Amino acid sequence: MTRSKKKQKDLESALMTRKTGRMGDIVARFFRNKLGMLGLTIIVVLLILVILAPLFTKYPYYEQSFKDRFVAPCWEHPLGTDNFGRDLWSRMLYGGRISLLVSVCALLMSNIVGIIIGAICGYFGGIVDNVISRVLDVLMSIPGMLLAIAAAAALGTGPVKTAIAIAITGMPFGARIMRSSVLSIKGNEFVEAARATGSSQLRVILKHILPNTLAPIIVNATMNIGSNIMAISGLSFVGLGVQAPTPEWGSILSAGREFLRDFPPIVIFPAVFIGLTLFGFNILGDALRDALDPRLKD
Amino acid sequence: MGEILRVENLKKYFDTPAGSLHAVDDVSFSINKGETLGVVGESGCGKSTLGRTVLKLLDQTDGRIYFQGRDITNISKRENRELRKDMQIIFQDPFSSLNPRFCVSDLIADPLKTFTRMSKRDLQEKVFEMMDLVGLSRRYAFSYPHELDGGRRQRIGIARALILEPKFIVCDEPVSALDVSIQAQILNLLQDLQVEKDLTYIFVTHDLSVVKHISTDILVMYIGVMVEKSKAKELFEHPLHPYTKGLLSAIPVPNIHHEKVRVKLTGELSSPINPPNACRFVKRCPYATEICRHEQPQYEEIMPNHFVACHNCRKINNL
Repeated sequence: MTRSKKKQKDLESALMTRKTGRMGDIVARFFRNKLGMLGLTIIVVLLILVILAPLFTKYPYYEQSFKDRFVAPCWEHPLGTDNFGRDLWSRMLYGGRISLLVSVCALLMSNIVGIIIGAICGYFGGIVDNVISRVLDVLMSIPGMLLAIAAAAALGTGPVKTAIAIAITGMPFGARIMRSSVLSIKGNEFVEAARATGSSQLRVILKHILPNTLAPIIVNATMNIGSNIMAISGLSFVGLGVQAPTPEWGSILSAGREFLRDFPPIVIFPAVFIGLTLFGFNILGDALRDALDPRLKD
Repeated sequence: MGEILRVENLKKYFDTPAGSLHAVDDVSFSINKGETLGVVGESGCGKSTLGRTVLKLLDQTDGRIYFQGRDITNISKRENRELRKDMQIIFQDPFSSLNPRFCVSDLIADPLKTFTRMSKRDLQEKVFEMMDLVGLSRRYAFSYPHELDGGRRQRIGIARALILEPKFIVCDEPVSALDVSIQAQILNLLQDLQVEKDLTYIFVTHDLSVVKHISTDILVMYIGVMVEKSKAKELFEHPLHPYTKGLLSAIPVPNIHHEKVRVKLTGELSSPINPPNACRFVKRCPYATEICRHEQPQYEEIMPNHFVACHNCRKINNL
């Protein structure tokens, strides 16, 4: 009697543990990571500033004032003004809208498509892999900027289209990384065990292979944020990204380059914003990767 | 004690750039319910491939497989999936055979999740039942495999294989990655489970003392072909094939007064790729004659229930 009672108790407590489940474990591990929390804070603060830009700015980002050109950071203009006398703080916050939206969208698109294509190549191998890999090789052999320009020219302008153009350049790299991860995981006996116990191929890929391949994908993805932001400015430069006077960090940075010697703030501040974004996403990505891996528990 | 599995002239060839690799070549045997067939041979002789082909995890090149009287040689994907409930496999490496991202409960429950829709409570109850069965303490239910030692990991592998209540299990070197003391525990566990659940095993191993301990029958393989098969006791007492003699004489005997008569095998393994029509063992056989070089020996019943593939078997053994 007591024995069966004890078993009942075991079961109850297990079910309680179960309730929070693996997802709960991951979330708990994630929030325990201090560096990750710093990253999250940076990203959240940036997002709040950018989304609620009208609340935090005094001047519209497009208002020019020729008597206030190159004003050093002061109370009136926290980050100073640019060569047209536009308030840099306003331009930073409004510019973040395009930069963050487009770069994150591009990142998600390129990696989701890359993961799917890479997983197919790595898992099925053979002729499928060969054909797709050669197409990816062709895409990778074209310089990124050129490919983005071609894609943007074909698609037209607008944030989503720009994001797609940038995603196309990043996708082959994500797919390549995914493919090699899948190849290395596929050889493990637990994949064979999953098949031997009746898992369908889709289940094997989604539950057994994919979770074990995410680490390099996440690192690659977070590193790409910075280059994506710069790619937007590159497209804008040839008139295929965002149109002036819509601000955007990369464009402000490259437009300010000629004033670097005389008025550094115009370059420093966009660089700081891009850097903070990159840093924030990077440590956030690392924390996510660690949280997803039960082997790195504490 | 009916026959549960019969394999006839099973062949499994792999295409390699160098040619056709004969991993399993013309292997036939049958196993009765509740018995254990030990498959021994050195690395690369096709033991594991044999196990996987019998389970239909690999498609055979030729031959027939009958399971519980039914021909499963050419079954559909769907039937193959159903077959998983009856045939399972225990893997060699308890480190790579468990998904590192799954906790013990999830690992054991995984096969059940693919076949049934059970409530969390029933699933957990079943998992606990299996953990009790294989001697894994319930407190490890939410541990991850990297936190456990090899023996416990292997118990997870066994629980996972047993949760679907199969009748037939291929044990692919289940103890060769473990310490000797743990080996004994796992072997005893496998034997207890066999009696309790009326299981039939194919026990693949290169360790002769293990196979002696657990097998009813023993099948000796050499580069894809079967060279000798008999009851376990008979094989250890009267090995007939020169290769088996060599293998058996290599077992260390824990007795300092025991004078060893080693049958040394020299030379190296011949290649399994496009093997010529000759005895596969000819290059290392001390008794090789002309016929061995030109003809593959037939598999004969030299003594009751004792099969050997050797041209000179009778001469060597004075039969």
